[in-house]
Amino acid sequence: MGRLVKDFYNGILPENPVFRLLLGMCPVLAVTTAVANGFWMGMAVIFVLTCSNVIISAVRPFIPRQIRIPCFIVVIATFVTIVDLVMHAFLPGMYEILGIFIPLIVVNCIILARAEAFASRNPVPRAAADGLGMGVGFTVALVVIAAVRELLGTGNLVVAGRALFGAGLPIDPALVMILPPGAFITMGILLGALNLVGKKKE
Amino acid sequence: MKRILRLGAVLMVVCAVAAIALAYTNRLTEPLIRGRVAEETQQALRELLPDADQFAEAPELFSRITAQFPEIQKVYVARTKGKVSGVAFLVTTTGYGGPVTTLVGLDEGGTVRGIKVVSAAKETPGLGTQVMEDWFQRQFENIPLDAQLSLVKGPPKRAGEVQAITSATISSRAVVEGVRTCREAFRALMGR
Repeated sequence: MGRLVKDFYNGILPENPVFRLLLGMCPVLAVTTAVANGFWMGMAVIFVLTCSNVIISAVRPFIPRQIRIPCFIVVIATFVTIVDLVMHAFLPGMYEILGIFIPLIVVNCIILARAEAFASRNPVPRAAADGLGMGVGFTVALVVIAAVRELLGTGNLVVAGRALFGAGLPIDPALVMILPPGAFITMGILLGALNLVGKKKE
Repeated sequence: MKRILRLGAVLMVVCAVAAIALAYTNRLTEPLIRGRVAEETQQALRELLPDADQFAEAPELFSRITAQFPEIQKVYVARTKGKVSGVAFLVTTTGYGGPVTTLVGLDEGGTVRGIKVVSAAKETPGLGTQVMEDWFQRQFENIPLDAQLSLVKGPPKRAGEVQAITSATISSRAVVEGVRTCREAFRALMGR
């Protein structure tokens, strides 16, 4: 049991896919213009990562080494297509905003990295814990970056369709924060801050 | 040779299972996706032309204007107690980042009763996407057919003037262009 908790926790801080491994940066930079976008992108990744980890771990005895990568890709692409269809049916507004970044989860390196490095070498429960932890870590990172950008870029935060600060904060919003450069600035400062904290601990 | 066949067989099984799972999901979600689009359109039409009680797509009107107005995607006729009381167009124009799709409702005299930007997902988040906000869309309400429609920076001074969104002039212009196209299409249909 303690091992599963450790596998789960691993993806949230020690090996956070965004802040530590720097994997799958494309959606991280592109969709973090609003907290809601970051959150739903994260949910999609949690689903795909957990499901593909479980399936890949379950079928690993039957998959010959030479064709493991195509098999992984088929499994991952299947779950991504399921997410794509379900989101189109139930969250049409969000589906349109996230657009191309949902199908692009197929080539997101976190998913293939966890399949190859973890799920294909470990039993199903551990693979599930790893997928869930990595997915949650990815979501937390997205929401944090999105919160900084949305707050500074629009002067407000919209959570579950409601603005947290009514008419907005009494600041002049810095438009650059919700434009692409804002993603790089936020990302850079957050990475630097996390490294500083990590160094202090050592 | 035997090894290649075995590898091929494993891949085939994996793909077959994936195909079955996808076919099943598709069958579950497809009617939902289609139904939702239709329902959303009806809902938007009711908001634009609240007096009307029935909306129907009008392919025969569409075919009359599609060559002249290729931006128009669909034409709807609104009826009140069986009598034609207005018309609505679904129009797609080009914004800053991609297509901007707007639903425009006009009454039988050609006055714009209201518009609804259905999709502006490719516009800059927080800037161009403001075309979907109420204050911007409400500016188009009750613009008569003979008033000149124009986009201005700063508060509007006369009927037909629409205030552009700060830092998102191109997205604002896309919506104005769409409404303008619909008014022209209305004129063409009515022979005015």
